[in-house]
Amino acid sequence: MDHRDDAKPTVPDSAAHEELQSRRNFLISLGKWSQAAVAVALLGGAALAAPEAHAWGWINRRGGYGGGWVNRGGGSWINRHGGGGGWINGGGSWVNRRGGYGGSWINRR
Amino acid sequence: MSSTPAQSRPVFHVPLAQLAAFREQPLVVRARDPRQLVRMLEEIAPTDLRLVQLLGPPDDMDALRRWRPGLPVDLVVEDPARDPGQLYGLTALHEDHPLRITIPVVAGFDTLTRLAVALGFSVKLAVEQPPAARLAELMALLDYYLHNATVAAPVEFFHSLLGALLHRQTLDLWEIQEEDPLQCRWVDEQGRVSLPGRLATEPADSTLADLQARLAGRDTECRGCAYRAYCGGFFKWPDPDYRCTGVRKLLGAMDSAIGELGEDLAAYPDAVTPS
Repeated sequence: MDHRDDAKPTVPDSAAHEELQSRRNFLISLGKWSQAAVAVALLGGAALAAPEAHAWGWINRRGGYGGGWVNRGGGSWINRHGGGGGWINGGGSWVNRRGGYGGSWINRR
Repeated sequence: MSSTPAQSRPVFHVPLAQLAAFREQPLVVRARDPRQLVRMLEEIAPTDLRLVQLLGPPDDMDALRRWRPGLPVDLVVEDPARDPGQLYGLTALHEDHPLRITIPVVAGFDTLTRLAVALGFSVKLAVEQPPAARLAELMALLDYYLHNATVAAPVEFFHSLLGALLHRQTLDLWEIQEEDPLQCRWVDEQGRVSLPGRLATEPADSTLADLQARLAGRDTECRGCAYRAYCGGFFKWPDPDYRCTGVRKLLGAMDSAIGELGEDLAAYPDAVTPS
């Protein structure tokens, strides 16, 4: 089983991508923010609004916001409903992933 | 304030010894031996595997190469002061799996975290009730995470909390750190189920609302705390007498950063003429 099948990136339209890239370049050009902080600033809201937008692929191709966790909802790996936090639920953690930047890796829905 | 999705089933953190008993549940499976982990997961085939955790981590993880590509792998470091060279060997594994390095906030955590981030690995800081020395290191690490231009990988809990603060999201540290009682259960080698992490000794049916109500009855430090919505008393367990002065300073630094980030974002339309 390839677990990548359920996490295909959603590619934003060209204009939206250019706008995002322009904002990213602007923030980076200030020379005071990390790429991770810039990614949270620019993508957190978008990720919340569209929890299925696992943008990790597209954003990294264009200059790398990082490991992709930002775009996948972030810190959380577990639920992935959005938000961030854990890896488990999609929110904060990696376990549930409610959407967003999210820490959790565990839920990923 | 935990914003758990409507009554989704909790995720069970199980050792390999309990894999069969919990195979129908959403699972995080932990192990020390990658080969045994792979063999048992193939044999027992849990229906909803969220990620695997390797404790130690072990030196040789070749068994995970080319196995279930895309399955998230969480490497749980037990001794951050151990040879940090252990991380260099993970780059090949990163080609096949999303990798997270979970690092306890004890002596040596900051050096290992910087190395992990430099190598492009996501990091989760496993933090309990840090003493002053660790808080000072957390503060320095936060500054590194926020301002070092080379940092592209998330460092949790900084990363999600920054996003929650910046975007006014309802998200708290319980969820970010995967210790929300609604979302997670811990299963020991004998199959006993408890709440995760710092709540392990609390009754298994406790909710955050129960725990926070109890805290409010005995402690006044949370009252009036500007970060209560995002912390939810997280730093008051396991010892409710822990003083949060240093934690509030850390969260205050994050708050200042989002204020500055917000100003920079607001300056964008004036600073850039769209082509």
